[in-house]
Amino acid sequence: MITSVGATPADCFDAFCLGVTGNKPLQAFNQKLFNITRTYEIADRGAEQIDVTGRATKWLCEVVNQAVKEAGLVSGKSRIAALIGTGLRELRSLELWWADGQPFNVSELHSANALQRTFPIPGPIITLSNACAASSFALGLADDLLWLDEADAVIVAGSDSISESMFGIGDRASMLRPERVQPFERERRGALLGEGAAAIVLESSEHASRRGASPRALLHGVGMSCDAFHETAPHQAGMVRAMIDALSRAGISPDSIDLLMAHGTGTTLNDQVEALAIREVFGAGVARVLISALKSMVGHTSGASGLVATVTAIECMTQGRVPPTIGFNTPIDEAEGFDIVAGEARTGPIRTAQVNAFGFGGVNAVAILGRTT
Amino acid sequence: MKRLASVMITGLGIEVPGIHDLAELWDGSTGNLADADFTPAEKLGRQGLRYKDRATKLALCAGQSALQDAGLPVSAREQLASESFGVVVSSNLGNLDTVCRVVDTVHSQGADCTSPLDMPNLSSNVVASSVAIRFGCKAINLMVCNGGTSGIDALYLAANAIRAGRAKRILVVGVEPSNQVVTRIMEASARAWFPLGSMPRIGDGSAAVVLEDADAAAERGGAVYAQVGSYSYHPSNDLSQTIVGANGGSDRLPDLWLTPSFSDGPAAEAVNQGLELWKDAPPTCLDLSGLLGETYGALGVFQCIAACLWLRLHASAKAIATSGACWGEGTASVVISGTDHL
Repeated sequence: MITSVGATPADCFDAFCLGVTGNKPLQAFNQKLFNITRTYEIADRGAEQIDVTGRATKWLCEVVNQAVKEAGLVSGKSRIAALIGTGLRELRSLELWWADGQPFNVSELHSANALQRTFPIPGPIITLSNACAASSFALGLADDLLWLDEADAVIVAGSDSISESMFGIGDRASMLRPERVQPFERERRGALLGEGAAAIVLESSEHASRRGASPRALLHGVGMSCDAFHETAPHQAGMVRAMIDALSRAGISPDSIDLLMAHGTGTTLNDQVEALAIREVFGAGVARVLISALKSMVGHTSGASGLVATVTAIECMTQGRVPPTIGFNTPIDEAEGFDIVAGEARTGPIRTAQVNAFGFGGVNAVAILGRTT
Repeated sequence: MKRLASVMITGLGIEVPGIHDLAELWDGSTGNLADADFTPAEKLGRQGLRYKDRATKLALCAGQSALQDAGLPVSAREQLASESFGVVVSSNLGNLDTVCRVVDTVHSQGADCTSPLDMPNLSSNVVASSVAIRFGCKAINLMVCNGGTSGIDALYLAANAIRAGRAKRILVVGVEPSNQVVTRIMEASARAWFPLGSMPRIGDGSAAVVLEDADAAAERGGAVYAQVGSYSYHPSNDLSQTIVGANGGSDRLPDLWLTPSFSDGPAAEAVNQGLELWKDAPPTCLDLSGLLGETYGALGVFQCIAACLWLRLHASAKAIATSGACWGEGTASVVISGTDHL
C-alpha cells in the first residue's frame, strides 16, 4: 500500500493509527486556476513539482511488488491472474500528453504492460474502471475466478492519481470548498481527492497450503449491486443490496461484524445515505460495530480506496488496532449512536471486518474479511 | 462437484452509423461509414440524451437493439428481474474527449468555467451506469478498460458473473467512439505499429449481446443463438496460445475464426502463425476491421455477434473470437459454440 502518509502497508497503518494526515497544499496544478487549495497527493514529484506521466502505474507496480514479495508468490506453474481496479486510469497522463505534449500512447491508459514487466503474469490481466468502487469490484471478481477454478491465485490491485479535469470539476461543483475530509461530521464540507494504491494476493486455500504460504486473512465474500438510479448521486437501496449480498455470500449475520471500514467521503449526500444504509442493515446492533473512515487521512483515493481500506482492515485484524477517523467531532443525525472511532486508535480483537465501497454511477461493492484464527 | 450455469447468447444488437442491418457484418459491402449520420433520438427518443457523450449514446442504441432482439423489455420500470440483471461494458476511448475538453477549459479559463454537467462523463464508467439506469439493470455493473482485448474480457467476466450466481442475465456492450481526441491519440500510438501513412481508420460504433443463464432463458422461452465457452488470455501477440488455451483439450479446432484487427497488416504475421494450428483444413476467417475500422475495445463484442450469425446457419459448428495483438498489448480468445452443442 502507498498513500499520502506512507509508502508501505506498515508505514501507512502506523500513520493511520497515529491519526497522521496526508492533507497538503496543492502541488503540481496551478493554484490560480482553482478555488480549492488542498489535496492528499503523494509527494513524489521532486522539489520543482514537475508533473510526469505514469504515476498511478508506477505505484501500481510498487504495491504489486510489495504484495507478491510478502506472499512469497513466484511466477511458475501456477495459474496466476491479475485484476486491477482504477477510477481515473491513466487519464492524468492523457492530460499531460494533450496539454503539454508529453509522450503517451493508448496502451498506457491501462497498466497491463508495465505490470507484466514488474511481475510476469501468465493469466489474464484485466483492468476495470468502476469509479470509486473499482478495486473492491476487482476483489469480488478475483474471488469468483478462484471459486470457478479459473485461477490458482489472483493479484488484486488498485491505483489512482489525481487528474486535473476531475479536480477542476470537483472544484466547480463544490460549494463549501473543503480544506479537509471529515466523514460523518456535522460540519463536513465535502470530499477532496487523494492518491493511493494497494494490492493483495488472493489465492485458494489449497494453493496456499500446497506452497506452504501462511494466510494473512480470509475473504468471506464480496457483494455487488448497481443502483440504476443516478449517474452521480448515491442511493440507499443499492448500498443495502450490496451489503446484504456480501453478508449472504459470506454466510454471516451483521451481528458478527466487529469493524466497518466506511466509504465515508465527507460529502453531504454520501455520508447521509451511507449512514442510513448501515442502520438499515445493522439495526440496533450498529452501536457495537467499530466504524472508521480512512478518507479523513488519505482523502478520496478514487478506485483505489476500497483496496486501501481492505489492506488496512487486514492490519486491524492482525494487530487488534483500529485507526481513528480524524476531524470527527459531532456526528450527523443519520449517524447518531454509531461507534465511530475518533480521537485516537482503538485496541481490541477484530475477528470480522466489512469494507464499503460505493462509486459514481451507483456501483456498490462490499467485502467481508475474517481473521485466519 | 459444482454444477455451473451454462451461459447462452440470446440477443444481438449493433449501432454503427452507416450500417443498418446485422447481416452487413458478413456482407461487408457498406460504403463510406465515416460520412454516415448518427441519429440516436430516432431510436431512443429525445429524453435524457442531451448531456450524454457519443459513446454512451452509441451504447444505449446497441443495448436497446439487443434487448429487443432477445425479447426483453427496454423500459427500466418493466425490466424482467432487474436485481439479477447486470451490465458489462468494454470501452477504452469513450470519455477521452470530455477529459481533454475539461482540462482545456481549466487551463484557459480556470475551474470556475467548467460545467458540472460534464462530471458524469469524466468518470470512465459512465457508459456502464447509463446503460443500467436506462434499462433497469441493478445487478453487477462493470466497466472493462483493458485495451484491445476488452470486448473478449467483458464476455468472459459477464459469463463468470452468471456462473458465480451474480446475475441471471447480463447486457454486454462494447463501444468506441470516433472524435478528434480519439483520432489524435490513436495516430500518436499508431506510429509504433503501423507503417508511415497507413494509419487505420478508427471505428465508431457499438455492439451489444444479451448473455443469459440457460435455465433463465428457457424459463421465459428466449431463443438461443449460441453458447459462451472457454476463454484464454496471453500477454503477448502469440495468438496460437490463446486459441489452444480457449479450445481446452478439444481435438476439434473451431470452424470459424474471428481474427484480430488488421490481419493483413501489423497482425498479419501473428495471424499466419495462428493459422498454422489448423494445418490442412483452415477455418473460415473474418477480420471485421475491413468493414468497421479499428473498433479496439469493442471488437470482441462485434466478433461475438458475427459468430452468432454464422452459427445460426452452422449449428453444429464452433467459433473462436480473438482480439488484441495490435497495439503492443496481450491477446484474448473466447470459444462460442452453436446450439447443437447444447
